[in-house]
Amino acid sequence: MPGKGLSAYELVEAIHRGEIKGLLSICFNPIVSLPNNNMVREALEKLEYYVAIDFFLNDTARHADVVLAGALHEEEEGTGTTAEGRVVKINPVVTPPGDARTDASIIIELAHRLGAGDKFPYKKSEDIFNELRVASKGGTADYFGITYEKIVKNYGVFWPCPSLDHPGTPRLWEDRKFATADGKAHFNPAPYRPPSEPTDKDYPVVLTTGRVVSQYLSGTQTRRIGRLVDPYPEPLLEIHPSLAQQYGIKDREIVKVKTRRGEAEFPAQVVTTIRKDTVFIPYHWAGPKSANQLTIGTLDPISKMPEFKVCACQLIPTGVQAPPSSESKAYQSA
Amino acid sequence: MASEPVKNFNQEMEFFVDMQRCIGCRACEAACAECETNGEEPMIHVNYVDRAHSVQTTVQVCMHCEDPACANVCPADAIAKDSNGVVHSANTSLCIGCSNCVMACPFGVPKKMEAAELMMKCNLCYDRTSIGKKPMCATVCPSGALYFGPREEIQKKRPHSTPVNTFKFGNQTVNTKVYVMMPNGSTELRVH
Repeated sequence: MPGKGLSAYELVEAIHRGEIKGLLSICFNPIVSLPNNNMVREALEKLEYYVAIDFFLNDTARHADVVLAGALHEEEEGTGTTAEGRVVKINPVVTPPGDARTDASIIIELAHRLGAGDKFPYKKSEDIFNELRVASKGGTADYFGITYEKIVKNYGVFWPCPSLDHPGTPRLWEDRKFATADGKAHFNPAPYRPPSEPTDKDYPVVLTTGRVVSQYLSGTQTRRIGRLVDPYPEPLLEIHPSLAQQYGIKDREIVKVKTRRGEAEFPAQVVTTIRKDTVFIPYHWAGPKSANQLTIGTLDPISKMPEFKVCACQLIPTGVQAPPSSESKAYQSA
Repeated sequence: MASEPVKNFNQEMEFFVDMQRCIGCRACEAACAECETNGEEPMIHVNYVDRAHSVQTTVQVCMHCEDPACANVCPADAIAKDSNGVVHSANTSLCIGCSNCVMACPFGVPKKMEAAELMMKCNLCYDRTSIGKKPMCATVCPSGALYFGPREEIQKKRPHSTPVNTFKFGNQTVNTKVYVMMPNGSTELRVH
């Protein structure tokens, strides 16, 4: 297996420091999905060469020198592993439109053109899967005993599956043997670590970010679908009535939210379903509506997950009412 | 305007809506909108009950009234109830887009599709239910808020609930083909 690389945010930081000068990305939209995205934008502008592969032109791709049209899940053959550890077969139902191609075929052709074709001798997706079987052999998530044929025959196979005659492991730890020194399961209480940016008198409110049900990740797919735009067309600032009253903020009033990294304006949504000391903004949008202009780039030391869920902000009411969210617009454009 | 009952429509299969189970995922709306007979518009609607104070959502499907207000107020006789008790969407060749039905329905079900100049509403997936299949929304609901099946089965699964199909809107009583699940002992839902 290749060695451990950089996590997504660390990679962008390394670009910003000038240590990485070229980038090839697949389905990567860090200008929306990573925290502190004013820094992310600066980093992307520093890249000497950037090739973006994606199935739709995403918000980050405007920084790319070359954009290559990749393929959707429905256009590719391969496998997926579900949250329960079941390896399932994915079959293409349609072919990519126009000059779009599967991501694997793009990578393989790039490798050939760059003179590394011998390291990418794959003829079909199964060849790549077979390499994963060998690479994961003996590991925790052992795929060695899983073959395409076995997946299709059994409607999926659960890892670990160490040998060809092994049926897979639908439920882990049934043998009560754990990968610890004494072979027993251990509770692993996480020591509390305070957020890296506590609130103070300048930035007195906790900002948390997250998702809404009708949008998915950075919105590359879902911000293009009218029916998914309609239920929640724009990011709103969820705020408790008692905090709103403290600032004199009314429902749908535009509020400027400012942190040490950026500022942006959002219509307020006054609700009692949020803590009194915290405001919430969903992150799926780009540009001036992007919540990640505000978030902090501190990473969890183990998982490297950024602290999307907590940073300090100030609220500046503008006294201006936002126009009504126009739910019917997407229908009209259809 | 009753037509001949469709033989394969299984009257043992009934529709039960358990509003408190709705998690707001809108899978029902997406599944409904897949259907080309609706012009790819959803005929089922998910709404917040009171977003300012709760994240609870609720789902509204056509209740298929025994005496449908929508059909009664239609000046063009475009809305018909068949002998299986299904209240059909407006006949596109008769509907004049007046919106009487939109205003008359006590459940807020019919919607005027401005682009089409037509009223459209749920017809209980007649193309599916008339051949013994479930409506699309009930096949995708992940939380059991929409359940289409035999009454004994839902009563076994939900021993603390009872299906109710009598609604009181002020002094007006409305009986429906579709049931809502209410706490045991309930006989009607009163809307004040």
